[in-house]
Amino acid sequence: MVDKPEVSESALQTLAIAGDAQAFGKLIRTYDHDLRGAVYNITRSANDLDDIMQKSYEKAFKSVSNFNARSSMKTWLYTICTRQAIDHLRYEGRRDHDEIDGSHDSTEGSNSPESATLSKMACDEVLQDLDPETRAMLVFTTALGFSFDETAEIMESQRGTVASKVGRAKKKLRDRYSQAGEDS
Amino acid sequence: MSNPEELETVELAEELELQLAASLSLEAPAPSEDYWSSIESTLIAIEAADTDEDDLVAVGPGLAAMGQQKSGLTKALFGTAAGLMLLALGGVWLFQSDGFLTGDEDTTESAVAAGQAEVFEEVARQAEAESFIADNSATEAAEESSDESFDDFAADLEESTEAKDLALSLEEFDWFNAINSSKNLVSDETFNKVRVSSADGLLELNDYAIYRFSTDEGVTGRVVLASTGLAAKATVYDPTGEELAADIDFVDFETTQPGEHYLVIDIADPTDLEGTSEPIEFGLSLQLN
Repeated sequence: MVDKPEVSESALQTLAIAGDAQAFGKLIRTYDHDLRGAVYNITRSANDLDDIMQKSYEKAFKSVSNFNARSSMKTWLYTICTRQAIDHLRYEGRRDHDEIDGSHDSTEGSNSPESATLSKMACDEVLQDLDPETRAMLVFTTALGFSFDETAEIMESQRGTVASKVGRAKKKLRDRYSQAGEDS
Repeated sequence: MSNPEELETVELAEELELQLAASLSLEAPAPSEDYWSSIESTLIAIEAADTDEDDLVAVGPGLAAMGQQKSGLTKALFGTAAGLMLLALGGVWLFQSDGFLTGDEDTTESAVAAGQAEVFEEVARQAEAESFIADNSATEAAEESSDESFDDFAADLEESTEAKDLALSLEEFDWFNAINSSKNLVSDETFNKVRVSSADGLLELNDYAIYRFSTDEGVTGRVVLASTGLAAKATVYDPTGEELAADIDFVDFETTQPGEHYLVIDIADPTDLEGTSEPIEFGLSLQLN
């Protein structure tokens, strides 16, 4: 394959839409870190992560000619990767894995060791019980900082649906935290 | 915020928000060593397969972008009442629309179309040396090759058994005909010098239908498209393969040069149809003023 001259992201996108594998490959290398992070936090599966990403990119490239530019390509790729992650969870019938990166300090920001333990416990329990879609919505809104509108676009849902599901999940988390505090 | 309980509640919520964000922001593990090589080899294989199987890639930049598996040519030919219903619906839109003759303005879609045109121009500037983007001197050749490609394509079709079946379903009119459609053209009329032609068809994932029509420069046109769940999209290309307009229901356009134009019907968002086997039915009317 002959190397192509350096082109802008929008030009790469156009070439990718035309079916250029090299251009599409360059684009996904740019986006992979963010996409991969989102998928990992939805699935919590380190073992299956590469496989999910590869399937997502394969699906995306096969249908890239129909990308309609109504959203950015990165948003469109978020949609495909998220759908693949959710499908994976449904297929596997599991929402939690043991391979979570143990080096991450998931109690940062806590005021005291006791409250940190309680909040982490409440988060773990609530996240484990969430359906894949709601979990994905929480990843986008809470962790990645996307707005409800942006999350709705990625999830191909409605803003109200996203707001409602995220709100219910957070209320559940607060209730669980309160209950844990009373129990202790 | 003076109530201590309220302060405590906010404090707890913030802590939970932080904990929740932390729980959902885990750093993904690094990919395996062969991660990118595997992805890139897969992409190249898909590209090669598309190039081998798709006769449209030589048509021009616009139509090349439509390249997909050519599954539409092998579709069974059949008609359904639902298809006619959709077409009737399209007809109702056509004749009840206030903008039937003048065209409705959709600023968002126009902006998108303009943006896409700019992207093509940008690529043409930046990747001029690439054969994929034709420069001005190559445009005429691309136009000719466009016709030749379709002619060759049609000739190949006629030699195949499938083509014989397909040919039976494709009526050709003087100015509007189907190049690739799983169903047939159903009417071709002229009302007060306004040419109107209709067609319907079936689409599956990664499928498309292509119609060709001849017209002069400066002609305004409108495609009215009806499809199951508004899943189909219509795109109009000029003789060089430049996209003139695209939408899922009404496509208003004005020709900028004479010659053979192309109307491509495909799935608007293929991710919506993943996992489904039911084909999308569509009906369309094309009118030129």
